[in-house]
Amino acid sequence: MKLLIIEDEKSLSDSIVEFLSNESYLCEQAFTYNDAMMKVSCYDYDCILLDLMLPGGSGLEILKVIKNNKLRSGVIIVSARDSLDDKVNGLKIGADDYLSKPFHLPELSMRIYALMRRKFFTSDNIVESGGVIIDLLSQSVSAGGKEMHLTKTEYQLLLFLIENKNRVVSKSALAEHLSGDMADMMDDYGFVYAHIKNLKSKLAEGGCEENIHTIYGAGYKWVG
Amino acid sequence: MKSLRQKTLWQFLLCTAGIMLLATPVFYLLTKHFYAEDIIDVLESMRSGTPVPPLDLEQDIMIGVMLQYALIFIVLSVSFLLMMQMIARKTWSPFYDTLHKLEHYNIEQDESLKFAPVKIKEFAQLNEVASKLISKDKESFVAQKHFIENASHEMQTPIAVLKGKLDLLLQEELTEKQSQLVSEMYSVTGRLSRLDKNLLLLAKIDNKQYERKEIIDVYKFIEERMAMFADIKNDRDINLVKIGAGDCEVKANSILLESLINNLVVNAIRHSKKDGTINVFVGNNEASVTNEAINGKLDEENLFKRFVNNQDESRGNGLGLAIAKAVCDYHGWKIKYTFNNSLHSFSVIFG
Repeated sequence: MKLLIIEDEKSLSDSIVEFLSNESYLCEQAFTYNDAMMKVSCYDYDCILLDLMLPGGSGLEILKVIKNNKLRSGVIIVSARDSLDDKVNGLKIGADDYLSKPFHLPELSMRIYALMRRKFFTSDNIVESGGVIIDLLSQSVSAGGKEMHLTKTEYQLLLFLIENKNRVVSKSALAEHLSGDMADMMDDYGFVYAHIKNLKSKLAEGGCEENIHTIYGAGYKWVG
Repeated sequence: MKSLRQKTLWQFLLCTAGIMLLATPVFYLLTKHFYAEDIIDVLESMRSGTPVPPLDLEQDIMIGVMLQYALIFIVLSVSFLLMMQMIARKTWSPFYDTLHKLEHYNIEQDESLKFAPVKIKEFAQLNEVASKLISKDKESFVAQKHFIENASHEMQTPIAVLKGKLDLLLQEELTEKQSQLVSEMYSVTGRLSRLDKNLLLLAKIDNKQYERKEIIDVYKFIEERMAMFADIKNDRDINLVKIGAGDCEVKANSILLESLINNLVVNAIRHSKKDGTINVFVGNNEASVTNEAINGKLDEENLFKRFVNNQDESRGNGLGLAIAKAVCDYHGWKIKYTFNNSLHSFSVIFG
């Protein structure tokens, strides 16, 4: 799977590459508008992460070129310009998703997964890990062969952890994934702990509670 | 272009001349009956051959002079009063116009000031100076607002880098102590991120970047968000109550309305007594959020001010209520705080 990261902040771009490196992705980076234009028009990518504000030009122009030439690439806009108009324009031109900065890397990773699944494995809607099977279409979950009844929040939590399997996901990233901007308003991420506890006790019925590792209160890891 | 002194002088002279002309019959009568009276008598007696009647020339002159003085004094007074009252009001009207405009000028809302062209030099100068001063003020005000917006934008990328590096750091084999440190850094980064987003939101409201408005049913709008509130409420209860038969439909920007409601509800969750109940009411053209207080009444005066922290807020960045206020001001709504029976209540009156 080939990925192009168009982001002028080298430090951030490198972090993304490193975080995604243990996946089966082949990451390439572009740091300027011209660089990005060149790469986009010469090579084929499965997924492109696109920053809108680049030295030398606007990311929206690059998006137009991508959409005019190569309809196959999935595009996720990653921008500090958190304005509704940009979002609307970007999605109108043909971006598949929009993530505003600052974001957590597990969130980005999950968005890429979701996009790739939508674009390339449309028939495969089953996610399986460590004895847990999630049917994405019907949103049903079974653990150790037993049907599980999860709340919407627990379902989101489980999917997020599994799609970031073998990686530690911080409480902060989980909180943001579950409740967006509201997460930061709370005094602590206590509600994440409460939901994890419930999820674990439900997983225990199918003998899968050990899949969630707690990392000293800093975060959680799905091992499967 | 005339100066004010010239204009006033000319007006006075013209006015006096006009009134003098109007007073001609009076002067005519005065001359005829006092100065010319004796001559007329003499001529009359010469024509008819009768002896000349006794003349009182001295007396006539004295009375005539007195009357003349009085007449001139009246003419001058009247013209002066007229000039002061009628004409001066007209001459000075651009001045009062300028004064009125300056008095009611609001740098936050109005465009730069425009004055009608005037013919008096001093007033033209005054308008020019006032215009310049205001446009300079306006310029620096706008620049400052855009500076805040740009600065908040610029900060988003470094915060994203920080978050990313923390996400990477967490993947390492960390000791408990290190995990604790990373966890605290996450918490602070989250605060920083929130603060930045809030600043940006405020700047964008100030810069009028939320023009898009639609008709929204407030009850439904809140109902759709209840699941999210339930996610973060922990052990508190949240009730959504609708009172009154009328629906509460408002014309609003949905992003701002969401921000207003999130801020009020999350604020209530954060400052609620443990196991307390939070009530969200939606009534006729109003909505309110009530929670059980831990401490006493809040300081009403500073409640909605930016960065004025009250009490022992450990995490609030002092912008939540300022945003709520800004959203209300933007839509022309009223927000009110009341404290009754140990209950904090924030209500918004739409329209």
